[in-house]
Amino acid sequence: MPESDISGVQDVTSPRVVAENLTKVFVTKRNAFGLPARRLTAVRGVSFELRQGEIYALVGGSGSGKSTVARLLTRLEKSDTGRVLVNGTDWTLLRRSALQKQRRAMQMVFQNPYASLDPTSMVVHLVGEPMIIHEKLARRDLDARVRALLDDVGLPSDSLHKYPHEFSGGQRQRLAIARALAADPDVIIADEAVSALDVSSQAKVLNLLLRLRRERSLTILFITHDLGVVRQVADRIGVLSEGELVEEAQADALFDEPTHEYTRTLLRSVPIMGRWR
Amino acid sequence: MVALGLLALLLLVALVADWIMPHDPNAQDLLGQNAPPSATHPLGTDDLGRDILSRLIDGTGVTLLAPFIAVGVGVLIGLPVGMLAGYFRGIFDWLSTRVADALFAVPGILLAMAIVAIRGPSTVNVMIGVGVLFAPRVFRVIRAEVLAIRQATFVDAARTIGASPMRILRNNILPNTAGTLIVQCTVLLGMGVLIEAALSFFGIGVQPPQASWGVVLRRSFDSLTEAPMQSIYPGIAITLLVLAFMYVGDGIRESIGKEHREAGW
Repeated sequence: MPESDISGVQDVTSPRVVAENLTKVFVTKRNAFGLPARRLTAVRGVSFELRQGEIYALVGGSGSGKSTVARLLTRLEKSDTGRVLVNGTDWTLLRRSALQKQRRAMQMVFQNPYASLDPTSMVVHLVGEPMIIHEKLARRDLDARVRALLDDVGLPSDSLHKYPHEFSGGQRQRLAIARALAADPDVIIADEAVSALDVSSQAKVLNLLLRLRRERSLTILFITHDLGVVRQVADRIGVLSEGELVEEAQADALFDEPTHEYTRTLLRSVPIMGRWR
Repeated sequence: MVALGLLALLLLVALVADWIMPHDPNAQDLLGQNAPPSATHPLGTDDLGRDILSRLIDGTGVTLLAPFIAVGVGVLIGLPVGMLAGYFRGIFDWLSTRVADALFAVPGILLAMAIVAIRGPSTVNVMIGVGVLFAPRVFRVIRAEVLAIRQATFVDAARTIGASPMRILRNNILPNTAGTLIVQCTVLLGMGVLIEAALSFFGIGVQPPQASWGVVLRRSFDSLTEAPMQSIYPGIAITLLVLAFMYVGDGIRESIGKEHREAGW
């Protein structure tokens, strides 16, 4: 378990993000009058909090509502009930322009780095955009700042004028992380951020996230179906099943003695090398 | 590439027309009417004894410019409305789609004739009118494209970093529609050439003595039995120009298809 012993930055007292009773119902079919005919409850009364400096892993199978929770937290999707507090501000009450300003505080790294980077944008604009938006940064300073960020995530700092398609999957995810950092966030939501990558890129990107958390005392919400990864990095774990948070525990406790039946099923299904022998 | 070369060549011809015309395009020679091709008149003369090659060269500028006016107007209206409708949806989308449907039902030639009846014959006026009818075509393509692009993860990503809708439209959505827009424009340019030729043919576009390829074609019809070749030259020229626009559009479409596959959405 490399790097998992770095938890000295935790400040347990102040929750960075509080999710309260989040529910999201999607209408999947409408009748002839345009009224909802079939509904799907993707997220049902989910509450949890992210404490300063911790890595909270949200795990669950496909369709368990993990990604919807991420979209509700970042307000890409409006929740039907509940509140999202980020640094004490209720994002569900904010108007659009106020929300745009607040969004700096919580950044997201998406699953597919081939889709999350605009193919028509150059790296300098891609990575620098949060700084242009939030700091009204001048052109001249932008180049230097973006170079520093690229350097920080381990990309060659001379790639300012390249386009995303010139990078590999792992490098693209680093670009996405660099962009998230450009906003100088308190919280980063990594939504299956390494599951689209090959194993060696996975390890590198994970280590990058862990190092950044240590250096910048970031709070990270790590959303994944990969329990092997979770075991390495998470401080606390929440288990989602069919849109409900069925179990929440310290990482070690959850792996040692899972209480909920679904968690046990999930743990049993992890293929770990050597277990079969 | 060949098509692009042809367009470049025609543009060059239009620019230096005054220097390369072998004769004054409007000089009549009533004794040498409908002359067959010869050393002095490579494509012969028309029913007023004017040199056809010179008239074709003289008309190149108008023939090239007219469709660009129409397409320019069409893009100026169709692009912003299509982008806003596709991105924001809602009542504005519904309304603009209905207006576009209504405009689609108006026949271009008829509207052009109506404009001429009100404002008097003028190539610019008529092509602006045609441009208004091109707008819904641009609108539809752009709206559909934006509907797809707004679902892309990179748009979500732009929202999470705090970009405003206008910023997203300008920085993320507009560049990603550029390919589609250019292809649509080349298609419309081809149509524009045909419409201009048709209007000139009916005598409500370019006014004499100014020449355009459509005008030359019209003129040739008066002496179709004596000198049938006269209508071949402008006909070939118009066909080649339309084909050139189409091929350029196809080329752009293909190169863009490649990029999209690489981008993975």
